[in-house]
Amino acid sequence: MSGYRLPRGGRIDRSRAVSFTWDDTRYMGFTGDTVASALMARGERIIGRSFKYHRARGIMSAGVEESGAVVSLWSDARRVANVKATQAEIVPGLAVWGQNAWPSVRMDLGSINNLFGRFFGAGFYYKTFFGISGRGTWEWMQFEKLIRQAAGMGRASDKPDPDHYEIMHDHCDVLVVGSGPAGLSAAAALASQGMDVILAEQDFAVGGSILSGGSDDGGSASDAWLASTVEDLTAKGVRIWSRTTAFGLYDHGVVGLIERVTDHLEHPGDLPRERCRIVRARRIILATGAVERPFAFGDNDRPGVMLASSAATYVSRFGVAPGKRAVIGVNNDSGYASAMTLAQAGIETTLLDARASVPRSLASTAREAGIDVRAGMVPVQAIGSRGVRALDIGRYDGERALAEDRLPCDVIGVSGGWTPVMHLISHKGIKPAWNEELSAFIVEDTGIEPVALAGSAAGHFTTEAALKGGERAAAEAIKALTGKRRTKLPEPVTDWEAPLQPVWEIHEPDRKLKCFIDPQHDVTTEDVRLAHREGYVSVEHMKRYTTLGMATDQGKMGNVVGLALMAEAAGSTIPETGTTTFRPPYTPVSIGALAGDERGTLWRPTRHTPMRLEHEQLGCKFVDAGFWRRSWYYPEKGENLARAAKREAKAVRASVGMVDVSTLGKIMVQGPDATEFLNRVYSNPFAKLPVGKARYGLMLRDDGFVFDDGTTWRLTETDYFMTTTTANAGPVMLHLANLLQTRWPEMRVHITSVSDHWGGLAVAGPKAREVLDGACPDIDFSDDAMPFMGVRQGHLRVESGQDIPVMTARLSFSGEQAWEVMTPADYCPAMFRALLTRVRAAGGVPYGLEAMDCMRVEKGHVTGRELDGRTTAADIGLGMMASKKKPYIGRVLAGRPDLVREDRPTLVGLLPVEKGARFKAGAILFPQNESKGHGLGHVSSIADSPELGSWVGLGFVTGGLPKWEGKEISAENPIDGESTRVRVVSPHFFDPKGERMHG
Amino acid sequence: MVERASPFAGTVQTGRSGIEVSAPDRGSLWQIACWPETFSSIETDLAQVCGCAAPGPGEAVKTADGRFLVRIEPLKWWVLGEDGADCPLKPEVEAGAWLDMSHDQAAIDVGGSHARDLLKRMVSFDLRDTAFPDLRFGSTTLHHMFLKVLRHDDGDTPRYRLMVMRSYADDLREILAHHLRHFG
Repeated sequence: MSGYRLPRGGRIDRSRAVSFTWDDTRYMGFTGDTVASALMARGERIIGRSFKYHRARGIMSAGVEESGAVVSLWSDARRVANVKATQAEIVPGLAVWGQNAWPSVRMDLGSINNLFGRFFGAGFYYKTFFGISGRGTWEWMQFEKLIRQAAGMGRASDKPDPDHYEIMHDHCDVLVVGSGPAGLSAAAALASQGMDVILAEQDFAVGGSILSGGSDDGGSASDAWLASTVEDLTAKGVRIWSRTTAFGLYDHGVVGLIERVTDHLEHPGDLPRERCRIVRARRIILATGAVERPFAFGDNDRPGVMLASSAATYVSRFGVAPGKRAVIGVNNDSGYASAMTLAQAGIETTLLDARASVPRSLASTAREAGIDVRAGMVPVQAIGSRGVRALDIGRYDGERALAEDRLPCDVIGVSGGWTPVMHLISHKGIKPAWNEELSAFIVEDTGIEPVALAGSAAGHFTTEAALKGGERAAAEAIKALTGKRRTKLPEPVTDWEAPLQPVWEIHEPDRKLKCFIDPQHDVTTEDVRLAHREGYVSVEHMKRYTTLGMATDQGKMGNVVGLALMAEAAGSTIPETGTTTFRPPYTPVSIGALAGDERGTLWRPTRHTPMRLEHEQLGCKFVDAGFWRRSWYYPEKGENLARAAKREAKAVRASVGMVDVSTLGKIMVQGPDATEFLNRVYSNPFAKLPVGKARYGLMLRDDGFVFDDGTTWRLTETDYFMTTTTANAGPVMLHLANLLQTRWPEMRVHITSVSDHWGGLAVAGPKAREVLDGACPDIDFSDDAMPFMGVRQGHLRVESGQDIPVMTARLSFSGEQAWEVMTPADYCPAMFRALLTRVRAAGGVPYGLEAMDCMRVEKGHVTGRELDGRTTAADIGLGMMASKKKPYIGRVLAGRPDLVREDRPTLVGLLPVEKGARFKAGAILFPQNESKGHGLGHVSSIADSPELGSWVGLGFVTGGLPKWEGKEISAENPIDGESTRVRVVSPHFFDPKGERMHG
Repeated sequence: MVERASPFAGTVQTGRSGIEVSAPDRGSLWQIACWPETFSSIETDLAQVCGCAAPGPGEAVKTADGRFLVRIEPLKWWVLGEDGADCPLKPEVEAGAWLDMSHDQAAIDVGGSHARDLLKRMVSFDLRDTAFPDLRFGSTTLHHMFLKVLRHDDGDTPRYRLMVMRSYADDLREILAHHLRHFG
C-alpha cells in the first residue's frame, strides 16, 4: 500500500465518515474527500486505464486537469461516465466504477494492446482507411467494428436520465471566476465599493490554492485570512457559488456556468442535479488560476507519477500521503514548496532540480526539512508497470540525461512550470502571447472585452502577486463601472528566487523511452514527431492527427509540452508554432443541463383554444398543428378518423355543422391610413371596401410569391379586423410591423395581434341561417341584411339568457352557406354551448379539422399545403385577383419572366381513373408511362370525398388545366412503390358556381 | 354579463415557502395608442383622466381608481383594471386609437420573498431591485411564448404579474408548477 491517511491535518471532517463503493467493494472516506483522495487513502493505485494501450493509470493531479483517474459514477440510468475522480466528492452510497477495462482496471485483458503499441501510433486508424495492401475499404470494413468497440472511455447509460436540470439567469456588476487569493482579493475590493459581485468557484470549497497549503505565508495564517474574507464577502452580499464552473465566455458579458447542485447530496429531493446559470455581467475578472504541467520522461504515466503540487495537495487538503518515499522533479521554484509539504508529513523526499544552479535559500530550507536536494538532476524513467517502485535519474545537460542512479520510491512528483488557465478569454478569440520568462502563454491585453485576468491566470504565480493582481483587476473594474479614478496599482511581479529552466522532455541517449504528454489519449512525444514527419506542420492539424488535447481534460496537462515538441521538430520557436484554440466548454457539461427544463411536457408549448374543455367533453380527438392543439374529429360509437370525418362532412353538407376557428391569426389594423396600408399590403384592392363588409385578400412577399391569404373585415372607417392562416399568424404580424417601421414609417397605422382576444366558431351548412336566426337578437342574418361577405356586430344570447358581444361575417371555407362568429375568448365556452344546442336541434354536428379539410378540398380552396412559398397568385388560379392598377408588395417581382411563364405548375383537381383508387399527398405526377425525372408536378392535398364518393386531390401540374384537363396522368409514390392513374380536372369539385355558398 | 371563463384548465392558486402564486380575477385591458405628433397631448390627457403621473417607457403607475397604467411601447399604453371598467381615454382617430384586449392575456401573480428566485428560472432580464423596481414593466420570451412582466409590490413584498397570450395559459401554469417544486 503506497498511500494512507495521515493521522492529522487536511481540510476534511474526520468526524463524518462516508461510505462508498469502488467496483462493488465498500470503502470509507470523510466528508471533504474526493473519490481520488479517498481511494488514495486506501492505497488504491490503479484507478483507470488508458484509451488505446490500456496501460494502468493512477491519480495524476488533484483537479480538472486529471488525465489518469477517470471513472464512472452511480449505476443504471444514473450512470455518469468519464468523471474525474479528483473532482467528484464522495457521498454516502456513491458507487464508483473503473472504466475502459475488462474485467476491471486492476486486471484488464485489454492491456494486451500495449504489446502491439507500435501499431497504434498517431493516426493509426486513418491509416487503416488506406490499408496496408492498398485495399483500404476492405480492411477498414474488417477492423471498423473492433475499432468502434474499443473507442471511447466509459459508457453512458442508454436509459432515460431520471434526473432533471434547470437554467437560471443572473445579473451582476462583476463576475469573479475563481476563489483563490486573486479572486478573493478582487471580490473583497469590489464589495468594499458596493459592487454587486458574484464569485464562482468550480471546487466544492472556496479558497483555491490556499486549500492546498501551497501559499507562501503558511497554512494557518492563510486559513484565517480565507475564513475572514469569506465571512466579510457574505456580509457584504457577495453571491458565492461553489461547485460552479464557468464553462464558456460569450458576447456582451454573458458567461455560461454549470452548478453541481445535488451530486454531493445523499437525499437530493426535488432539486435539479445540475443548474446551468447564464450570468450577464458588466465586468468579468478571471482569476482562474494556473495548471501545473509535467515534463515528459520514460514511462511517466505509471501509477504514482503525478504533479508535484497535487502530491502536496493530498497531504495538506485531504490529509493523505500519496506515498511513503517521494521523488520530486522540478525546473522551477514552486516545486520546493510541494517537496517541503511532503517532507513535513513524514514522507521521505528527494528533490531533483533540473537547474544546475538551485535557488540557495529554498534549497537550504529544503535541506533543513530533511529533503535530499540534487541539483542538475532529472527523472529519466519510472520503474514499475502497475505502480512506481523506483525512478532512474540522471544528470541533465539541457536536452538529455543518462540514467546513472535508481532511487526507490512509490510516488514521483513533477513540476515543469505553470500554464495559466486562459481558456475563457480564449473563447472570445483573444490570442495569448508566449512569455519566455515564465515559459507560458499569457494574455496581456484583453482589448475591448470587459474582462480582466488576475492572479496566476495572468502569470502572477506567487500568493503575494496574486493578491495584488486581484486588487488591481478590481480597481480597473470599479473605474470602468463608476468612472471613479483611483490610483493605478502597479503590475504585480512573480518574484521567484531563480528563473525557470524550460524542460519539455528528457531524452536518453541511444534508448527510446515511452514518454507521454497526453496520458488519457495515449499520445507520446514520439507521436508528435511522427505527425511532423508525416507532414503535419500546422499545430491544429497535429492536434487532430495525434488527438493531443482532445481527451476529457482538453489538453490542460499536455498541450504546451506538445507545442514545444512540435516547435522543436519543426526547428522553429513556440511562438512561431502558435497554440490551438480553446472553445467552450472549459470542462465537460451535461447535455441535460444545457437542455434545462425543456423536456417532456415542457419540450414545447401547447396552445389551446378557449373552447378546449367543451371539445374534451364531447370526446374530441385533437391534432397538433404547430403549437396549437386543434379539434380533429368527434368520434361516435367507436368511429375511426376516416369514418368520423366523413360523417361530419356529410352532416354539414346535409344540414349544418360548427367548427372551432379560434386558431386563425387575427390582427387589428387601426388608424387614418389603415385603408391605404391594406391596399399596399394586399395584391387585390381594398380602397373601396365598405364598412360592414369583408374581403378575401391575397398577400404576396416581396419576391412575388404568395405569402398568405385571409379575410379582412372593415369594422369602422379606420378599424379593420384582419384574419390570417393559423400557421402564418406570427409571420404576417412581423411582416406588417416591418413594413410600418422600415418602409412606411410615415403611415399612421397601429397593428395589434388580437388572435387570443377573440375566439370563433364557423357555422356552416344549408341550415346555418336557421341556427343563427334568433340566436343573435340584434343581428339580421337574411340575404338582404347580410349578403355574402357581410359583417355585423351585435350579441349572442347564451343558455343563461344573457347576451355576449359577437361580431360575425358571412364567409365560407367549406363551400356551404356559412358565418364565422367571433366573441371575446372568455365567452367562447358560453358561445360554444349555445350554438351547439341550436346546431343539434337543426340536425347538425360539431366538426373538426379533418372534415373541414375534406370540404375545402372538394371546394378547391387552398391552404398552407398549396401556399408553400413557391406558388404565385396565378399558380393557384387567383391571378385575376391581383390588381393591375395599384402598387402593392410583391407586384414588381411577381412580373418576373419565370413567374409568368405559361408552363408553370398550376393548381388542378385530380380524380382517380378507377373509382375507389387512392393516392397520396406528396405523390409525384408524371405523364402516363413516363415515370422518370422530376415529373409534371405533385399532389398537394387529398381527401376521401363523401360528396363524390371517391378520393379527390389538389395538385400542381406543369401547364395546368389548359394543357392537361381531361387527360390521364400518373400519381407515383416512390416511397411506397404505389402508382395511381388520375384524371386532371377542375379543382372545384363541388358547387363550382358557388350557388350553395351564396344561396 | 356572462361569467368569464378562466383560461387555466387547472388550479393556479398555491403557496410555497416564500412564494405565493395566484391568478388575479379576469379584468379589463385597454390599449391606447397615439401617433408621434400626438404623443404629448395623449400622454397629458391620459395622465389627467387617470389622475396620475404619466409612466415612462417600461414603467407603470397606479391610477387614481386603482388601475395600472403601463407604457408598453413608445406610442402605446395599457390600462389594466377590473372587469367591465371602461377605456379611460378614447382618442379621436386623428390623435390615436384604442382597443379592447381584455380577453387577450392570461395572468398569474407571483409574490413573496423568493419570488425573484423563482422568476430567475423563467425570465432572462435583470430582476434586481436596482434594475426592475416596483411598478416596472418588461417584455421577454419564455419557452417560445411572449411574456410580459409587471412588478407591483405588496408593501415591501415583491410581486410580479406574468402575462402570456391566453392560449398559452396552461403552459405558464405548468412551468410555474414545475419550478415551484424546488421551493419545498
